[in-house]
Amino acid sequence: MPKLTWKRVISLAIVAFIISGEFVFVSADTVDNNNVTLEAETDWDFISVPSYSEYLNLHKDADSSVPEISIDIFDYEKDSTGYAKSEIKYKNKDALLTHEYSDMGWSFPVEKAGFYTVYIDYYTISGNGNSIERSILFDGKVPFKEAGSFMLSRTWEDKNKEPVYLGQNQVRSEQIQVENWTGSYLLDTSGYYTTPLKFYLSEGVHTLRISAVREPIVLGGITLRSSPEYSSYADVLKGYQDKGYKPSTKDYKHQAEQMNLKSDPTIYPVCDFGSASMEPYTNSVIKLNKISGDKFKLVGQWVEWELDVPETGLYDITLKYKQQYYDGGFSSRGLLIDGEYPFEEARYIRFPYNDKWYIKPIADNDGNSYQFHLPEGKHTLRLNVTLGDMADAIGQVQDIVYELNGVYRKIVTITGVTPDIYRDYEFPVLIPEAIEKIGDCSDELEKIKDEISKISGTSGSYVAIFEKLIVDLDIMYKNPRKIAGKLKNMKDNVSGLASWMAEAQNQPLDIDWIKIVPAGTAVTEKAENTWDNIVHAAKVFVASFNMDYSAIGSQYESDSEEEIKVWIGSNSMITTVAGAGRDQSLIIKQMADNMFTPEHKIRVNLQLVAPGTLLTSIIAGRAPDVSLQSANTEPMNYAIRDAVCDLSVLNGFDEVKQRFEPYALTPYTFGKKTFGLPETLQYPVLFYRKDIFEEQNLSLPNTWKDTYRLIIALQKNNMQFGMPSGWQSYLMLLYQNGGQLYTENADKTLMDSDTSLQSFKQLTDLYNSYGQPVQYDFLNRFRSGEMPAAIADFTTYNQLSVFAPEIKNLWGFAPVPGTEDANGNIDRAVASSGTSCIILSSSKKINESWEFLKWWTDTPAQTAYSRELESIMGVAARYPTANKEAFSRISWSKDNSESLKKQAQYVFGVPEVPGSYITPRYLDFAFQAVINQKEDAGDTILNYAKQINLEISRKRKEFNLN
Amino acid sequence: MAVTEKIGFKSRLAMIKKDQVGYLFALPYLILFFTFTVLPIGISIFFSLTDFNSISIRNFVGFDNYIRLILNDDIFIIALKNTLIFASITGPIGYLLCFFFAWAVNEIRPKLRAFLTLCFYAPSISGNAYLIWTLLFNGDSYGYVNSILLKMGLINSPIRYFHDPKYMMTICILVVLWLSLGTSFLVFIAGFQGIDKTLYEAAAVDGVRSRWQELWYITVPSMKPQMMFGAVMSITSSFGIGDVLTGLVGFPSTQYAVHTIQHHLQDYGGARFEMGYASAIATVLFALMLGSNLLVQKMLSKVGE
Repeated sequence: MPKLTWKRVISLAIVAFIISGEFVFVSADTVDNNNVTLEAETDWDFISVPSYSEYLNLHKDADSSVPEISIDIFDYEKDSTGYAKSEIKYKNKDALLTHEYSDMGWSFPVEKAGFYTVYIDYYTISGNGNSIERSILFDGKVPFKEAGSFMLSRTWEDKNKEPVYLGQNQVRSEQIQVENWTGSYLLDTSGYYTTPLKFYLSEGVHTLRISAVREPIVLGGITLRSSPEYSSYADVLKGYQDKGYKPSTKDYKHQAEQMNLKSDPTIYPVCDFGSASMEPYTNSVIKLNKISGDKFKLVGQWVEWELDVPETGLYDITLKYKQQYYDGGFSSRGLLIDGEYPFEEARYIRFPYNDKWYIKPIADNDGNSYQFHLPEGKHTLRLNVTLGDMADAIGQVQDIVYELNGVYRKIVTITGVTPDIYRDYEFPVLIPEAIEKIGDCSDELEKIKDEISKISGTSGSYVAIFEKLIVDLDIMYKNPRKIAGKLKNMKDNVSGLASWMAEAQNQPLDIDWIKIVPAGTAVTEKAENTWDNIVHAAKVFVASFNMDYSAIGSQYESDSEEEIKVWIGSNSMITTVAGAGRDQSLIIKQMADNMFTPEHKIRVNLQLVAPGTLLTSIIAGRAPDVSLQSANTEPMNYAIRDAVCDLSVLNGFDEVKQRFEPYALTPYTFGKKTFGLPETLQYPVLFYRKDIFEEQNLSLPNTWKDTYRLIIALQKNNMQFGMPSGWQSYLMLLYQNGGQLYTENADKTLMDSDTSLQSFKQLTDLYNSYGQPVQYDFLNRFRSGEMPAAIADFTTYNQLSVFAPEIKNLWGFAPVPGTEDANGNIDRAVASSGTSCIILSSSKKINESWEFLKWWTDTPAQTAYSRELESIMGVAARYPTANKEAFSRISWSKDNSESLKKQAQYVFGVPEVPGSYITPRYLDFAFQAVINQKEDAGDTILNYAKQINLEISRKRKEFNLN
Repeated sequence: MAVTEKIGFKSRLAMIKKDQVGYLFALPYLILFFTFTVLPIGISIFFSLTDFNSISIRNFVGFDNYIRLILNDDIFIIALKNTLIFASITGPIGYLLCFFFAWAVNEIRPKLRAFLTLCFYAPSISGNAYLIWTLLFNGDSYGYVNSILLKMGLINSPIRYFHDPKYMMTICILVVLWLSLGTSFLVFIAGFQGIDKTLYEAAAVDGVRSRWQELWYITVPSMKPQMMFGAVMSITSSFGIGDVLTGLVGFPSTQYAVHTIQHHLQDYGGARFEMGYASAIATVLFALMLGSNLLVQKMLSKVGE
């Protein structure tokens, strides 16, 4: 036996102690957890409206074949608002104009209980040209989430039916909206449900309300009827045989780029240089030859072509198409002939993946082509984007993403975002429902994955994210102690799943032409061959030496009287609004050519230049006449060196000033002179997650006192509030406390004033005393719910909308918290920033340039520009125009629009003075010093204020301003 | 005692005429060099004697800019200090690293050597790849280094590496060293290949016992031209560090902690529009680089003796 030394005794004692401690911990599992401070499980339905699938489940025994109920739209309820009798007649009867924000109600009797779909006849008047959004309530309630917001589509067409050329290159035609009568069922906006939405109505009298979220329409009629049913293809085929239809003997080809009508102005044809097989063929000049999958991919979009059928008979419909976006997946389309689905299977036709151009007939999943009976004459063929067979799966994935996000937040409430993997958090005791959810989600994901694999016929990279997540969820479910360690993986994979879902909702498809051929003769074949493509690529390469692709439209040779040179600085990111890329420049050029030049007889030579070129061009004496999109701080710098013109002396200036908010001009004004006109204007607002606020019972902070309380409440649950560090926030607090940045005559900074010291201390306390994160990635943290409220520039909306599609309707923004003064008024001051346009003083055409600026900053031009941008590049390119009127026409949602209006009352402009470049710099240094080295706030800012004053006086001396 | 004749002008011309083909070969380069290097330096020196404000010249101020720079500019002193720190650490250390790695890689067989050369050389040619360091050392609590340290419990709150003066210098030096295996490295490798192997054998016979002796007495003297080249490249680039740092810490760096002379120059030229003053800074920098270059070359010429 080993000698029992002291060392051995002590080690044995420790071991015994640890082992006995294990028993203590184990038995603690059964102890009552009264001292746990966390709330019990909250309701999973955070917004207390069921989803459509739950709703259908609730009424699953309801009858689907019901009589039609036609609602008399002029028999509206007394509390309806926002309507008028329209001048336009619907089938010789009166029609009802419903304005934006209108709220109309009707009551009607129901004889037979069952599922009714809603069909609306409406007339698309122009309004603002945005998408028409409505919400529907039955008996005062929104029956399910999807009914809360549905869209009615508009119709657009090309203005020029013939090709339009700019020089040698074909350009796309302008898109104009068609005002016409059309009808549509109420459909799910996201496309997860491919049939019209069904509403359950019991016997008796019900009320129906339609509230207009956006855009006016003229109502012709509202009908409630049973779900439309279509015969199966087998029946239709038998019908052909019974009626003795024969295959036709002729064929007809139609180029896809010649569209008759389309649902969005963004679906325009583009030029593809990539294949020798394109029609019309090109290897050098730009010819529009296909519809691109980039533009034709979202649910709700459709394109209609007019076919001139040469002979009555049975046809196969073939397309030359390419779907190279989804390896292993397919894109779906619904096919309508003359506005009707010919048979049930036509509702979701698959276009599988292929990386080359193929000619394929419209066929079933096994490849047997469908036959269509077409009488001679003109007929319309419409393809609409649908999620097809995948709709179900994607809808279920969305539900799972919601649930897993909720589970993640529950876990983070306990562990914080970086959990300690060695600690036993006792999840089964604290959040047993969450763990059950994890198990359920894992099983559902497995089912969905199998379903998808079956539908698409492949498994593999397309569903890899499912497999990863299933593995993690299984581990977490079977062994809750591993949850802490797997948490980060789970979060990443859920994000991955959300991205998959966002991707899967896109159904891109490139189409070159459509051809109808005699039934039975259609073959599937490759449309291009390798050798031709090689030759073609060589030709394109050679042609690239001769073509000037940088020319934005035509370049005018002569430097004639009536021409001005306009520069715009380039910037590659569309989500940052300063500067422009090719898309923006093309739009501006086309607008100038179509709207400005005809009226003012001044030609515009628009050039896209690298940033920084303006300064060197001024030195070289080759400056342009006008420069667009310069940053806030530039005009002053050029102005004190006499490089830009004073606009306040040009005629019509006072009138032009009225277009903007007064504070928009502050950065460009010095003394009595104004050196630039504002183009864009942006300012911070408070972004917040509606679902988390509701879940946690939080309310939006109105004052900073409220905010401190909010911060504490959030931190209790391991969440954070986001406050951007540094300059912007300092300005916000300074102005809210009634301070100023510079003295009246701008010769000193007031950073050393008491107000400034107080504001600065208030700012740094947020980080030093309240533990706010200094550096954080707002987008990711907002998306995961870790930072459910944060102050950020409202243009972050652009990026957030495309970045986090899975939280689409769960967030919004509100005015920032303000400072309460003695009388109880809350001042929510925030500093604005933006870009401006200037006229260079070296210009020899100042009057012409001024005409251009006047046109450019005026309402019609700014409205048209922001609409074009948004319709072509989507919400990511939403343009914060400084023109008051144009800004009010942007299609913000109701809540967001009100928040912006409210916040706009408190915005102020940041004055720019000689030497003002130094102020943000030293403020930042002061800030960093206090945050990093914990120096005294007051001393630091006094010190830097002194240095700023030195610099300002140095500059003033240089320009003799004293 | 050799007698050197005074070569007259006429005979100089004759000599040039004899070598005219050589001069013609050099002419294109000479023209470009003159237009794009010598001439701008001259113009810059001219501007440094004025108060050019990027748009117009107002006055000829003589040496005022220089006086202000040396006597009255606090930030310049900070910049000078930073630049000298960078130059003295990254210059020699980078240089030695180049030499050492080249020497080590030289021992390996050809295929593996080529691969390793690529690995070491890649950072300096890959454009802005150094920005990956901003990802690693991100000040967010989710940044790689921060999250690892937080998880291990070594720190309590995320460190903002690129905004906290305590850390900025160290991280920047690290990144610059990582980038320093550039052209010099390749030149050294080539140089090592070119050393006559028989020298080593002769040295072994003569009694050279260790690798170090071999290095000092044989390798280094044979590599003199390459070492000179490497030294020139190292010194010039270490004085001119600027853009890489801007990419890492932003402009200007917090409390000017990694503000180099290059930054100072860009500040006055770009942000403050005082191009005349900036030209003075540029001239001073030029003198500094030239001076240190000559110094290093003198030192190197003594190597191996």
